[in-house]
Amino acid sequence: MKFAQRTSRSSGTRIGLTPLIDVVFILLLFFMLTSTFADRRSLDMATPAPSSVTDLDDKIIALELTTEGLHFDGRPLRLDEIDAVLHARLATGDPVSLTVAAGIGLETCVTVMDALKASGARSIALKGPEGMH
Amino acid sequence: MKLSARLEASRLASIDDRIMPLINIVFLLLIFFLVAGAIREVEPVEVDPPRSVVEAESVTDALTIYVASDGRIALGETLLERDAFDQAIAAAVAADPDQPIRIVADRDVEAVNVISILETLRASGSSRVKLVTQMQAAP
Repeated sequence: MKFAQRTSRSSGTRIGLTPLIDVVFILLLFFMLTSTFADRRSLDMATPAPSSVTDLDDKIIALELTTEGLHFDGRPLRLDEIDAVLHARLATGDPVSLTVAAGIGLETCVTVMDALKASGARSIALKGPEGMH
Repeated sequence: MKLSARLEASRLASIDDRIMPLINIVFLLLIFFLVAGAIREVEPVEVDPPRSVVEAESVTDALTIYVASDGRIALGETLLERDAFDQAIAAAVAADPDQPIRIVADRDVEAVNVISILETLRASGSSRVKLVTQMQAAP
């Protein structure tokens, strides 16, 4: 008697699983199609006001990046030499100015900036070639 | 009559039993995508940011400049020619000089293009500029 009652009640309140599955599938599809796993980061770009740059002229560490590679003081500098050559000066907080020639891809430029940051550079300003505009 | 009703009920119950593992897996997938994924932002041009090892998280609530590999520029969601872009950015920075700005540029774009955008931003007085990169595991 009790058993019969229980079964009749549970069949009376039965909720169909199919609509639930439908909704869950639609949610799943939505999240699969719209989600991305790319890990985006950001790099600070220094945009100093032109007037604040002139009085720092002798402190600026001027690097040049051309299609032939990175140059410091007119001498070529490899990426793995940056730390050895510039670490002491970068540690004092001197700003870096990186002059980039035409024909350099952004990724190369970012790689150099990464290396400078890794050696302790705090502020890196990018400069285009003279007479760019 | 009673017998056929009970048969029907047991048939439904057995369908439920067979479909349960499926629902479990679908739920697991759903939770995985909910937790692990981030909703992709709509980009007006296709952009593949340069790889970098920087740690700082990318901000999302910033005025965004997109630079595609073929040099097309978009501010927010609208594609603009260079002159119109310069005017629009000057107006936007003048309206709120402290707002963060991020540049989402393709890895193949010429650095000189990005630098000329930076010079435009510098000229209009913006100081909070970030370049978006893509995480690369440190070697």
